[in-house]
Amino acid sequence: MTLAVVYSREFDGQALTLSASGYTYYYTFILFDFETESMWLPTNAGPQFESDTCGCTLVGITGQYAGRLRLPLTSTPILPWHEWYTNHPDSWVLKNPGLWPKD
Amino acid sequence: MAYKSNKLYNLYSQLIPASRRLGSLLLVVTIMLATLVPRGKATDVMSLEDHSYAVIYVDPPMTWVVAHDSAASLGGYLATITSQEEQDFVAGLLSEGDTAWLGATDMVVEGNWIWWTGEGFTFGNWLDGHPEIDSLNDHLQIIHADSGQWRDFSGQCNAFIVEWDCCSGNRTGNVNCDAIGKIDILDVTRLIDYLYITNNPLCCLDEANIDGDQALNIDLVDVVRLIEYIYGSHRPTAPCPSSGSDHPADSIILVDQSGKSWNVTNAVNFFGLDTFNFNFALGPGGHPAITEPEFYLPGDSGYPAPGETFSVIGVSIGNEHRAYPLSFMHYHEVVDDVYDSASVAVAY
Repeated sequence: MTLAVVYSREFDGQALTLSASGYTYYYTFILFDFETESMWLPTNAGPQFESDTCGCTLVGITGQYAGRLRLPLTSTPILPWHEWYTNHPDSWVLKNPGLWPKD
Repeated sequence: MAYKSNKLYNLYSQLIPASRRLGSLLLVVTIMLATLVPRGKATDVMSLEDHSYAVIYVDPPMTWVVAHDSAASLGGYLATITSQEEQDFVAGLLSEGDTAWLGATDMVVEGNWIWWTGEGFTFGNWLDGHPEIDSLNDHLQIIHADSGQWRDFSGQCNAFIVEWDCCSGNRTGNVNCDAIGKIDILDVTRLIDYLYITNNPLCCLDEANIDGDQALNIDLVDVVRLIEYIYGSHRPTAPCPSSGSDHPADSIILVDQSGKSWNVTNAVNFFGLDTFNFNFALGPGGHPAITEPEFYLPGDSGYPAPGETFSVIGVSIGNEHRAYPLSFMHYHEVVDDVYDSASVAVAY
């Protein structure tokens, strides 16, 4: 992915915890969810014209969610902080999470 | 009301006060229609053997993925064509000049065409020169001209064909296989959507013992009966489309560097992925998502100065704006965050 993409992670009434599975398929990170350990592969199919966008639609390829599709809510810009801040002076900023996940 | 199984009805009663029950339900349905169902018009529902079909025309046009989701919201799925008889029948639903989405794609692995329902992709009615090799055209369309021949296409289209399994006990009125055994208000609204939007395919309703008053006079009695029909004696037994093998002996298991096993049978056998192209295998700890993000708020000590130039991913959802410094994302790849209106994953 060269753009950042935002997905709703709400499925069937619960919020899944999506994370990188540690695998790539060719050059694409395969995501998975902790709850069902389904693998999710980003594909080129997108919400608008498909040839000019990033890998967008997630496809469930294994596990309970195999066959499910999830369109992105939105794709988002990557830009310098000062440009973002100028337009969004009330923005929150992610704190450094450190290298390791919390228990 | 004398019902054998009042579980659903009780659930429903808890959700919506008795006095407003049906009205509220219809309101919910209206909202569902407004949010899930594409704006547009449909042909009459036509049946071939025990399947029903309709052409849905939409404005604005939609991509295949959106059409896929819309067909699901109608209680069916994008039509599949697996025989000459079905081909002729579906082509006959189209009007002059129509082009419509069908339920096949090679979006996951180029050249590996699959019906999303899991049916075998054996029959074909391709236009000359199609499917195009190594193209970005990933999804299947049927076109009115030339006996309803097929082409691969991406982009958007102003019609799709929805198919319902009627009376088979699978998926009828039940949009998502994941809902099996978990009845909620969404299922109720889906059922009603199904009845109204499909113009009430009679073959299903007869078997479900729905009142003769039919769709336009549907009441809660009908809803409960329908749900009993779907979840009761006709409880779906078929797996979800492409939900994988039930035979462990046939399973394809990858073991990553952390020792974790991954059952990729379905990814390989159905979607056509190649096990040799699953790379790195670092395990889920290789790039752990940020699952409990903490933020600096404006005015906090540590909040970046306005002139800083580091790169961020800027996300706006509703009135909430959050910046995720790119330097953290290189390692973590995903932030699982919660906004007022949605739980989201920000993926880089």
